[in-house]
Amino acid sequence: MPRWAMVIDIDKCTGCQACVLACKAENNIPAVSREESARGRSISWMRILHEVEGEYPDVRLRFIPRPCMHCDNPPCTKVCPVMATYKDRDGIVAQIYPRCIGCRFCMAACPYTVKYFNWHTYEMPNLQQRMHNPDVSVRTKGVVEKCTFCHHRLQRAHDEARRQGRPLEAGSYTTACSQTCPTGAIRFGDLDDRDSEVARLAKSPRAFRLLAELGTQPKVIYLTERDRHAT
Amino acid sequence: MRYTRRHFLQTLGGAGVGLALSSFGFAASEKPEDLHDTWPDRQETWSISICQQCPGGCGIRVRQVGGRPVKIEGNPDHPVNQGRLCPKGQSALHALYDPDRIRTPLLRTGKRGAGAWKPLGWDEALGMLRQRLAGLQAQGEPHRLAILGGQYRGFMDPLWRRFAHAYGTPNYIRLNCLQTDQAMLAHVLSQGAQAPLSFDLRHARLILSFGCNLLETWQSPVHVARAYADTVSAAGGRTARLVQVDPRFSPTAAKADQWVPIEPGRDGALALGLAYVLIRENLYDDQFVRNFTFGFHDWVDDHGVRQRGYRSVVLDTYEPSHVAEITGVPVETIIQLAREFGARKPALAIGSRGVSQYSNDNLSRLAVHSLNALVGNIGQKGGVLGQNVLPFTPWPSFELDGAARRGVAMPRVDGAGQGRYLLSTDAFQALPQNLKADKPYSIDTLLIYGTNPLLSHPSGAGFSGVLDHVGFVVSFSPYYDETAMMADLVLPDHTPLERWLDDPLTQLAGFSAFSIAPPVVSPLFETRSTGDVVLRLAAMLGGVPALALPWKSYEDLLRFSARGLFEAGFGHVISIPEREGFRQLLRQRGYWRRELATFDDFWKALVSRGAWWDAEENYGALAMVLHTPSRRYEFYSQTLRRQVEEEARKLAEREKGLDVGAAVKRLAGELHLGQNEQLFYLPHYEEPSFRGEDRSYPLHFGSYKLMSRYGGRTGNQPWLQEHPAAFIESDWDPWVEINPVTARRLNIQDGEWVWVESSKGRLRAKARLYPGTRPNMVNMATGAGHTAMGRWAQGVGANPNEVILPGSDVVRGFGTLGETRVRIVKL
Ligand code: SF4
Repeated sequence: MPRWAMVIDIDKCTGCQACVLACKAENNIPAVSREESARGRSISWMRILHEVEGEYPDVRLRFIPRPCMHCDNPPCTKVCPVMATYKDRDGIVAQIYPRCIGCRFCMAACPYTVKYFNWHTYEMPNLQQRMHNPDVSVRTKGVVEKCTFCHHRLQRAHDEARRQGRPLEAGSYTTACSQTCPTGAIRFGDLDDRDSEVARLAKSPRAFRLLAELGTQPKVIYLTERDRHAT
Repeated sequence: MRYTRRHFLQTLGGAGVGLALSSFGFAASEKPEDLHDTWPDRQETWSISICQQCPGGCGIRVRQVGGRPVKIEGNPDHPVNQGRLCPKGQSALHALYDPDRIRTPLLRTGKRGAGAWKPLGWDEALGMLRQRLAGLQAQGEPHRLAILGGQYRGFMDPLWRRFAHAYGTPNYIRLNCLQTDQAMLAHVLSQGAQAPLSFDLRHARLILSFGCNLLETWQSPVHVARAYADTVSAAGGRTARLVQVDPRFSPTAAKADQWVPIEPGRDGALALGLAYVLIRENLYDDQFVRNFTFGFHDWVDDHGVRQRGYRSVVLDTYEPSHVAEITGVPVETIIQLAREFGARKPALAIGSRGVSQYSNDNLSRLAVHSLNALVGNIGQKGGVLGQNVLPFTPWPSFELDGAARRGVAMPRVDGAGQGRYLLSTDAFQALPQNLKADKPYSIDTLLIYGTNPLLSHPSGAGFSGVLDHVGFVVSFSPYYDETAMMADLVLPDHTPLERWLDDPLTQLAGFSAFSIAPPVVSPLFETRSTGDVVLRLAAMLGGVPALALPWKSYEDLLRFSARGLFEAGFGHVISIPEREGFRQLLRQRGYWRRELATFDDFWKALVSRGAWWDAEENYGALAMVLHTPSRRYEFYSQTLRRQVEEEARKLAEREKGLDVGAAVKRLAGELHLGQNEQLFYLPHYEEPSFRGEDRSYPLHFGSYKLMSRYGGRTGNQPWLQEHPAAFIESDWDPWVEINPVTARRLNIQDGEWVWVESSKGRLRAKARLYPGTRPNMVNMATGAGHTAMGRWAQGVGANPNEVILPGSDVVRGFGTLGETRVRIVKL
């Protein structure tokens, strides 16, 4: 079974947010209103965190794209009282929306703040609903949602492989964010495939995992920035 | 089998991760035609198109399910973006599915701007316009038609131009603040460039950018991002260094290898400071300078007058300690940068920032570009290149009739090409004033296409009153934008995915290309492609316009023009990488093979794959990029001298008591060339002219474009509104960036609402304490603050043009945006 993972090179990320928008379009994520947004309720499965340090003119700015880490040892699934969030056979941490009772324990348990609560059923004008991706269900008020590693694309790849009577091939699917990333900072693939790019990059001396000390075993691996200010 | 939408999403959707129990709410305001509550079949198809969210020129693929576009991805075979897209591109379906689109032609019924309209059929609407235009023609006053065009590339430009000409008006005026389809003036003056020159970012080993937001909005954002990523080699080291000179610590500055903070408006001085070190330390390319440049050393002109050369001016004036005083850049940094620029070959200096910020911009750009000449990085790999002209089939020629000939000979209403606007091809900036004063004559009918000056122009609000001086205003906007709201007649264009699109690309290094795309979907509403409308109008007018524009549709016009590509004997329709790789090999061995035997096959391939391209690398082709009178790179611009002197002679003839010498001086003053005659035609530094005294308005006001917005056109796209930027805490609300130290002095907290005030006006924004702000400056993003346009745009954000006092921009005729001083006041 492949272990799907993502490697994000912070050095290459320019903070453009193409990944953020690609994710919204792929996964039917609504824009909440201006008012809701001001209350911190916008939903962004992929989000670019930023860090600014220093004082003019010695300033540093760093971008950290943050999807769900799809932990191998996820703290969120353990607290769900109804099994609405669980690790599936592909190693992807999934949400089953119809089961979710909106208790938000998982949101509290996730140290990476990747989970989002639907405070309302966000209404889109009908015309805009035409752009819904039919492969991804829409969510309603009171459920928690988050990045799925574009699981529906994996499903399609499985289907395709089955139809052609072959096993799932390496590189047969990628997430919407990594597909669009202009600099190629976001890489996606099978960590257990030793020849894959992600497996190779995961061994880089620049590789690290966010809050690795918590023992969550994230499957999103970051590559640190290079020191670009030395001449 | 047909499903209801909800049923469909619940049963087929979800793909295992989860099922929705949602119920869709339908907003009460929606019209019945929006209620497409059933899904067609589930057939998946992909069509190619071109992204129109900015002028970047990215190729796209549109995923459709049951014929309905549901997602946009990059076209992996397209040379601009190789399958990648930026956030605007990912949001582009919001343009098609904008619920606030204009759905039929409209006739104004109430007061201008009141928004009272009567829907019209196309025949009636076009008939109305035809009648008006035919009337003007009959009166022998075709020049009183003016056409205002915005930012676009492709055949819409020659189409409008030819229509205007054949009809008999000189007034086709483009609002040209970016000019991706025209050569930059500094390149015209120093190299005689006739088409945009390109910068070979991929192969440069040092990129010295003077305020160009390379990684955000410059030229073609995804293309540049790809080039940037390529400089990070697999081993982890960087093969090129990026140095960003900018007062503001922008995302580009953050991703650069070195950021050089500088006082606003001082780029030219810094460039000349580097030139000083390069010359003094003998780090320049002596051979190139000797063989291929003009005006480096002092020289004697045809009149026997001794002229100063670049070298002596630089050595006399731009000593680093002096430059450090002007720019605020330390002497050590100046020396370090210059040495690096001289040593790391090829090194590339880029100063073509886009919109003019300061009145000395053209001089700054000349100064910056002179660095490329000093190190001989022109026409070289990693340098400033020229691309091949696209071999389109020329359009048939035609003869003007007498009335049209008289019309086109009239002076233009914007005064471009003379006096203060001698160097501009279009001078939108002069329009409000001239229209108000009926100077040189009154305009009867104004057609506005592809631009929304009421939002985007710094004198925008002032422009709205001016429209009342025009008899009849026609807008082609697909959206109820601020300018369309003031129109008498609206002939709504399709949104991009509903029409034929074309995009010639010659401004990016390493290739020239022609992207083309047929409509992806049939139009959702009663709109029409403006290209078709112009052709229809020409046919309805008959006479010369009909002869000059013989095509039945825009598609016909494209097909006619593209035949030249088929016949050219070079270039190919783009293809999968493997095939491209093989072609590359063949080409290197000097072979070219025709892939498609007939034009019909060629056309079919072209419109299904999305582009034709010619990947010729024009290295070493100096003849291609040096078209000056001396056939050399001109440090001393003879082109500029000729233009100024010629205009001065005309001026002296017109005005009694003015001799040519005095006229030259006056013109030079208006063109911001300074007062020292010996320097007029050489790169040199003049002070920017800031407006608003220091005491009451102590802070410089800077404005910039965000990666997430291109002008105002994406204003009604809610995802982009929600995520304007990642480098700062931001949401739908406008913000002004203030240095934390400055804010402390003013007792302003992060997130607090404040007034930004200039002597022109004020706006409200949230204070964002951002240490990347120069302490004597504040910065704001442009492209928001709509007063119309739709539910997600109107009343959201703030428009910096409310406070910007546009200085006279003699190059683009658009207005300088960076010379306003402001103060911050607590609410
Ligand atoms: S850079 Fe972005 S907006 Fe511009 S053409 Fe490319 S994808 Fe479209």
